[in-house]
Amino acid sequence: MHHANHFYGHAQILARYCGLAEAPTIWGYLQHGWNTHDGFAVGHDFVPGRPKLVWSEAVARRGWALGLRDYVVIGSPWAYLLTVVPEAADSPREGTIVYPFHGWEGQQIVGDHAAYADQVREREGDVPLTMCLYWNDFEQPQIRRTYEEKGFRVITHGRRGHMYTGGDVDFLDHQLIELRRHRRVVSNRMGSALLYAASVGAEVGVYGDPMVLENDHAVLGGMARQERLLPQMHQDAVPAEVAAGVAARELGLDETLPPRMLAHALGWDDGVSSGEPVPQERRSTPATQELG
Amino acid sequence: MTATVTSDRPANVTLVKGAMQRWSDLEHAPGGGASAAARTYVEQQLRPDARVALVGPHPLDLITGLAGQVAHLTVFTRSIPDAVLIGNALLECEGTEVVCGSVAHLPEAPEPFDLVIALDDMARVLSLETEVLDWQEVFDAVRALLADGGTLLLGVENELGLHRIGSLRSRYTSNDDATWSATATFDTGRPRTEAALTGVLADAGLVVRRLGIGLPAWEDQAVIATGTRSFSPQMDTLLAAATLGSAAFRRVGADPTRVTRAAVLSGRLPDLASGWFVVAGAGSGAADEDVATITATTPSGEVVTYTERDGAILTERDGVAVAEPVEVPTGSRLLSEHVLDACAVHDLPALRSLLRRYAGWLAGRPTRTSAGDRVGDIRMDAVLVADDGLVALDPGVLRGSAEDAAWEGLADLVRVIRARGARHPWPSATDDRTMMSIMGAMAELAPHPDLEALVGTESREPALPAYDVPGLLAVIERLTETNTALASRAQWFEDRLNTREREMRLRTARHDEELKRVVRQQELLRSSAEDVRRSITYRAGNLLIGPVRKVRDRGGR
Repeated sequence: MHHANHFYGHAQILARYCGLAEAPTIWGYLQHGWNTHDGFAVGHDFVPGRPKLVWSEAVARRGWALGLRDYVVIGSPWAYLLTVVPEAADSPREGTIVYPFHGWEGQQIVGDHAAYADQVREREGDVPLTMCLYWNDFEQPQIRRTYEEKGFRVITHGRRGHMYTGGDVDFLDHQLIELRRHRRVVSNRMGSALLYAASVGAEVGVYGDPMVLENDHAVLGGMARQERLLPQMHQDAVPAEVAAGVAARELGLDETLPPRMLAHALGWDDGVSSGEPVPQERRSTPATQELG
Repeated sequence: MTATVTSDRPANVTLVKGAMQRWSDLEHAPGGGASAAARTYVEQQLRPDARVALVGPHPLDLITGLAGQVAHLTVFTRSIPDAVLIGNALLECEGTEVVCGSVAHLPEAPEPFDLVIALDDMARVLSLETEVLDWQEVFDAVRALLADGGTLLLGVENELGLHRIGSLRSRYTSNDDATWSATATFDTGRPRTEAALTGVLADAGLVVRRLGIGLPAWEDQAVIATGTRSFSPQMDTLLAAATLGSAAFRRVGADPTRVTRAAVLSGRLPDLASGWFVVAGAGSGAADEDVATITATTPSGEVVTYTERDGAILTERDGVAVAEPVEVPTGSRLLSEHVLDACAVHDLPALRSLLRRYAGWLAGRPTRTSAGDRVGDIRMDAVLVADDGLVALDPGVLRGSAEDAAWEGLADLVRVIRARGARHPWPSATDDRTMMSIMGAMAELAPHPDLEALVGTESREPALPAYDVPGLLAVIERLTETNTALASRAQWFEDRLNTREREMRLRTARHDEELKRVVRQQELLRSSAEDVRRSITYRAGNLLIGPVRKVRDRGGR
């Protein structure tokens, strides 16, 4: 239906939850990231009548007010991943993993990585630090080097993919592993990663230069809107119960559907047993890539 | 480097949690306090030194009007586009600010307000950027703005109001952008009766000082009445007349099922009000005297207030007391109601009597002699019928002659009949001009020289009804009857033409036959003459007579 349904391996996670080996076509539009707008990219075209599959009620309400209809709240793929990959009983946590606000293939980030690295080190102290970069930042040696020279372990969870190709279907699996390893997860902006972290019990924090996207869309309201919407999340160390509450609401942890119902919502009624997988070039890295 | 992207907004606008990025309430509806009557209500609560909060959507001119009358004004809105609009309008006004977002999620409690105005209910105060709150929770947040000893001016819509009963669309089934809020309809905790509302206020530590109702529509409360429980029969009559005669009522619907009239006749109009308006005080204090008042916006935009004190009804027009108390005969009803009833049951004698009475009453009224004379409202919607005569609710002089006034009144009546799809006793194909002529004759008026212009002027009024399905159906039925009658008439003319054409063809055929017969006779005669000329007798005669003629002719010379 739309290639964004397969970003970050989302469709694959939902397929696993439904008991499918591959992800059939999702007959609708799947929200692919935490979003303070209508759940989708600015200017997204929709086929009328097809469901907009979003993570939370807030997104659905906002979209309605903007003139959109046919919202179905199913919870986030992350919420389903948590049920597919339960946490080990004795998984030790150590250090801090950092998710700097990232750009994407169409919009680059503008910011000072060295200054940010210093800021993180100063705040976090002498603990193991992991810098997780989005792949387009990760593939720039000078950015990687900046963090490496300051003692960071630099990783990426992979690519989100584009037009059904080049995506790491286990992107979120890698992220889940890393989030469960670390005691703290921080960023310079609110984003999906912090919500994911809060959902698995890591302490989260937001501080540092928020950086900006080139040509960011005014309709999204920028950083100021995020601060207004979730002021309690914009602090160095967010109280655990506050972070967990926000994560539960924004990720729709309580909105998940049983496999049969989810399959129905995704248009997989016929596909649960014999669905045609979406032809795509799969990438599946054995583990999180690190700077070699 | 940290140029975060935000909406451009004036300096007096503060965005807080819940600010809605791309939503405008004012774009969808003007907001509470739109009518002149409601504004009068607001102005009664203003004090020059007061800190005032205005919560939820309200008309822009109401906001800017408030700004100059109080020491401080904070406008709370959830919409960023509305906040920018209001902020720009208030830029030059000192002591004003706009807070955009969720009132229930303010980052810090503002300095309490002496007066909190929320006339648009709670449904459009709730922001969709936050978790969903119910009516009570939003109300609690609004209540929290109030200072101890302060005043809350609150409007709450009545789900059982006449405007909802006659609404074209159901809020339970609507699927448009403005209907995402559950607090407007699906919230079971929302107060749905006067008792429930006063209970909510009492629980919030508020003492109800005045409780009013708004009629006839939530979107246009042309009439606001307080102390309706203690209304005398005369005040009931005035409330009914103000409601039935209001321009808003005409816009809302023709009400051919007469729900409003049934409510009037059963004395239950206050129960079916579009909403309640409450003035409530925070902290201790007794309720005000339950003053019986009616504040109505007239079709000309004037605000008239009736107050009953010691058995007399005092009138104010635009805040100026009228010297003489209004006279409301017990049991009286609007003339228009009587006339429409007579039309509906085809009671022509009664109709003739009423119209003659109306024209006679107008003939006895003073006409304007100077520019300072106040012109009254002589429409049948503003005249009461009593046993011993007619009484004007808005007495004043006539603008022109009594005859002109009567024709104006008849034109207005025709407009009402047409707009409401009301039954009338005349043939369906009767046009407006003819209907006016008939009624003018019934009222014994001299023929009007230019009825076309009078009807044409009136027909430029707003089309009615707008939201009344039975009314629309009635109009359609009347138009169908008219069309059927016109079609029959056209068919009759066509039949007549066909008959005439057949007659003409027959006559033509006969004429042709006659012509042929005559031609044949001529031929026959010509042939006979030729035969004669060729006969031996004729030629012999010619031989004999020829020489005789010649001799005669010579002799003659």
